[in-house]
Amino acid sequence: MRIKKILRKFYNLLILVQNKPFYGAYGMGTVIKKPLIISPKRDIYLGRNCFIREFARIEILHKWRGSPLLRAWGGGKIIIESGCSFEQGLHMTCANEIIIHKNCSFAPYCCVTDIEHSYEDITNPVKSSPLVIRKTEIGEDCFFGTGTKIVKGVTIGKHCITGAGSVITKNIPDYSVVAGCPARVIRRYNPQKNIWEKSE
Amino acid sequence: MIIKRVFNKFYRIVFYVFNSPFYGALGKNSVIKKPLVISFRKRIFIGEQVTILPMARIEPICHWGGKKLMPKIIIDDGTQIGQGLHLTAADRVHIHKNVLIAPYVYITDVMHDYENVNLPILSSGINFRPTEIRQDSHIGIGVKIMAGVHIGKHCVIGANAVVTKNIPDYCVAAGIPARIIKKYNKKTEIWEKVGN
Repeated sequence: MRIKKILRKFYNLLILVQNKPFYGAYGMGTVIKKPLIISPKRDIYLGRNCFIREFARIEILHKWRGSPLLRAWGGGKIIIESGCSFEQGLHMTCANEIIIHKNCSFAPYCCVTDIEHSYEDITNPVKSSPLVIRKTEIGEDCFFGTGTKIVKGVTIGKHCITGAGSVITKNIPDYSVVAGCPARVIRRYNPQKNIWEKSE
Repeated sequence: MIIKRVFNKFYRIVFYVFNSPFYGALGKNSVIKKPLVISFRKRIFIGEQVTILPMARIEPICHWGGKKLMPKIIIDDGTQIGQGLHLTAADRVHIHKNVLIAPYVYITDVMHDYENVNLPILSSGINFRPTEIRQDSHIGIGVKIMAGVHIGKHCVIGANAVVTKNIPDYCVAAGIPARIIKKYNKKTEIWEKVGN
């Protein structure tokens, strides 16, 4: 077992050395295992001790259908703070900004995005119509259940929990439990009584 | 076709020979193709004629927060499982005979505690209740089966459903959270719709 641990440490160090020059920031102890696609790496900022499992697809868009996207924010950016963990099959697409604060953990097959395809123009196929872009932010200590989908323009507070298979379309306040499709708040923390209360 | 069959048979024999010493139990003709993660194989008990397609992640949790746990994952004879299975167990997950499981299914008997707001959820405790899927059931694509759920005989779970409560024998369930939408009537011998 000890040999296994040492081997794993060594392997992690190898990944670190391999990755560090190419990323915007890459903290110590961060591990990304065999991703599907990560591009471009220079706009991804990773904190310390992050862990991303296999088949992650992390993409930042700089152009869409030949024309560059609005660069008022200085380009797309993904910031992942220290201690976040992502299980297999993560999908993240970004054109503006995605911020994930400390110690969040994502169960398998989650999706985080800040873009949406507009469909209003009926002469264009949806595939080639312009994008709707809004910033997504996720607070500290959150936990996302299996297959949670977070769509554009959502701000999630501190210490939130989402049920399996939920689709988050609206902002979520601090200390709440949400579930369903679209997600509704089913439980909230009451700081006065120190308990978690059911909410309608 | 014959070559393919022979190769398949051969592959299964090779898999059996090389892997059976490491598993808690591994029946003949069973195969797990290119898994992502399989840890603590001594806690995994697999019957005969089981097929698990690639990208499976089967993880018994043997240590959590300094405590030792004795998990058990049991997959009985004739069960077929699609790609991308994710199975975690800290107590007991039992999949009975001849269950058909579609791709990207998630089965667990663990829940993370979230009640302590001062701790990040990854470092707080876990609670667990055994999960069971009875024989001849069919689990649809992308279904999530949560802790403590018992799914009865010959059930069908619709695609993308999240099963949070027990489901009795001979039912069709779907939705988030899963509701029973059809039931088998033994007297009339037909599947009847259940009104909401």
